[in-house]
Amino acid sequence: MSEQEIEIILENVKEFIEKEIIPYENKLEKEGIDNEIILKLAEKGYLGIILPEEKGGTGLNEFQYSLILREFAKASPSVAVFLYLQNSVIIPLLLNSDTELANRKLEEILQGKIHGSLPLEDLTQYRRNYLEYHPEKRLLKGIKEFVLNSHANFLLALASNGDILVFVECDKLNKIENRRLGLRALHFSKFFIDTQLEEEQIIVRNSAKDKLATIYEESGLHIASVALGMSKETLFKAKEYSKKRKAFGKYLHEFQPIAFNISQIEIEIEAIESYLNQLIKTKNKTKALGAKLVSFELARKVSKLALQIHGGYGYFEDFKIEKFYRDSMALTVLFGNYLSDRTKISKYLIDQTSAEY
Amino acid sequence: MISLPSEIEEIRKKARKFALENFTEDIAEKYDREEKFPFEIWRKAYSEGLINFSNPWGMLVTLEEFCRVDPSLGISAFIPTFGSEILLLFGNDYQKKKYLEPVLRGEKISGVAITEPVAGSDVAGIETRLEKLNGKWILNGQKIFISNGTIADHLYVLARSSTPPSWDKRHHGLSLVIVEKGMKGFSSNQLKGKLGVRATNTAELKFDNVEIPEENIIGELGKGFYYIMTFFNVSRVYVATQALGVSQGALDELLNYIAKLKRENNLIAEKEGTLFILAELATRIESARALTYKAAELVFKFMPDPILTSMAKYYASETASMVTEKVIEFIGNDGIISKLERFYRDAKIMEIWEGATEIEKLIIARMMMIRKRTESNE
Repeated sequence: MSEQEIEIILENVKEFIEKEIIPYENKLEKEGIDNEIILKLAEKGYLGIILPEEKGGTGLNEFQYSLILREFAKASPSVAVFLYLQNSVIIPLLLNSDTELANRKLEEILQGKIHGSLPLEDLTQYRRNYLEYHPEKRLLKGIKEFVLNSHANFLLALASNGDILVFVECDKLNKIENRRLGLRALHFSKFFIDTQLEEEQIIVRNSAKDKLATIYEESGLHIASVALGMSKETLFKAKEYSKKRKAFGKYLHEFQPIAFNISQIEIEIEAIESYLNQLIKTKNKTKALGAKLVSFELARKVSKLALQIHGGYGYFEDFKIEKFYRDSMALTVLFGNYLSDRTKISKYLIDQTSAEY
Repeated sequence: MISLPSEIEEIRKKARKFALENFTEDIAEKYDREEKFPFEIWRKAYSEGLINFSNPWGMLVTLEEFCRVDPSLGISAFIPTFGSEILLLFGNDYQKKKYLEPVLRGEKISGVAITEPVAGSDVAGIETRLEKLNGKWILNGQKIFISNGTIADHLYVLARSSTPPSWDKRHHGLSLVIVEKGMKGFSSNQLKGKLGVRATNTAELKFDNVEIPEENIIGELGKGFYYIMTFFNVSRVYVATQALGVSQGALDELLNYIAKLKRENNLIAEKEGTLFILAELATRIESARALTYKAAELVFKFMPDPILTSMAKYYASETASMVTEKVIEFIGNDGIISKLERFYRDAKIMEIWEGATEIEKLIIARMMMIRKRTESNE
């Protein structure tokens, strides 16, 4: 795909965000992503972005998808994470199933009629806490503590020690909302599950845990793209503000520490952007985890700097700086696993016996 | 942990007990959600004798313990006295009796209004004007991000009362006046949507031809900048203390978490990746505490050292942001749905209010250079 074609995609995304996301951003943060927005996302082909056209998707490549996520993340990290969850996790999981139910649901997602949720403990392996499935009674039981996008129509969750993946309609489940530090347009809940399953609701029948782990690993560069978009936006805001705001008769950017920090971060962002682009283009997924952690850390660092530069103004939601401070931390926690991620990277970069103690 | 005389440690225990009993998660969450000032917590802390200006060390450890349990409620219990040191140090008998004493008795609420839309860190850049017109002092201007703005009975307001002789001497010609709630031309509006410390009240203030009685001018006319800087030498020690409380509270959660992992025979509790985080954060907090207590000791002996005060404020507030961040990152999902998410939001303001970190660094370096010059001349 040529530079020109990429430009066209980006222009379309920016136009959509300008019209459909930015004016409703506060409403989204307070009330959550609603069906109307989801329908519009689907109409524009943002659900099923990397799914081949013959399967009903938009058929874009990984690089284009990453650029789209970055743009959404600049305006609304929550919407970007919603897109990540559907495009990079839920849809690939449904594709891993050969059931009629999964096919049907995939079609409905692409039309924006439904969307899915997933327990983060299953996704990031934060906790070994699988649902129990009793085949003889077809009974599914258990608690899922960290279900992201929990106002979705359905939940995909691991059961029976992670062997199987089940599909459950969310309206049949009891839930309580968890606190939300960030990404507040996405509901985040604890689910109490005690329900009967139809045979077809078991959509993956073996090694489901491993399949999910592979999908998650392969999506590392996607979620890193969300963090990168956030970093770019917060840096942009900090830079602009430093050119507008005066203290002691000088613009903030005229002071060395502020200028040095902004420049340093701009270089880091560019370095990570090039690294991400290179990993995406060379399809190097083994280094995705490291790229993800570095991107998360950078997003937090930039948001901290932007808040400090904005001072009291940054502390209030109107300037949309504090949101990035919360969202970057939420992103780090929800899609990271501190010790386990670092252990995996060490084993990959040094030796299989590394980081055991 | 550094320990203080036993009677102060007794106060610490009492303060912790009070905080654990009164700052329950339900209550802390409610005020955080509703952005309402917890009047009953302020009154109760007073009625139990925990806010006692005659015992500064007692106040300090109480604030630390309060913030350790919940920063936003902890600060709220103290903040009604905000600015009291200004009158203690520079007020006259009339002002002390009328304005200070009811605040120290916990009957009234005070506040300090410095920041303006055009000037925050740059205190001397404020534009609110105090002018004498037809023999009367008239105040005009606007303030922003003012703690207690809509709940204060009176506020100590910084205004420009004369044109400075030159740009370098902009800190000349600033004065402090007492503005009472209900004075004609004074209005305030609560600002909502803060990242953290959401139980505290923050407002924008407007002064539209507010007539200020002569007796409401604090100290000497034109000395306001000096009074405020002296006040900051005290108040910044309290901000450092708030930050210590936040940091210690987050560390408590980390310790509890690791202890729980250990009880569950989870090997993570034994890994060096875990242990080093604990060691590093605990060391950092203890250094911040040593620095803060040293700065406080000098303040309480009426020998404040602006260098130490600024070092304490800068280091402790950075520690609070860093510790809450690291602890949440380490604990992960369990942390983000716990009180730690509030601690993380509450911590950040300490690097901004009462002089941003950048200002503290300037003070430290400039004062050191001044001292160096003085020493060379001796």
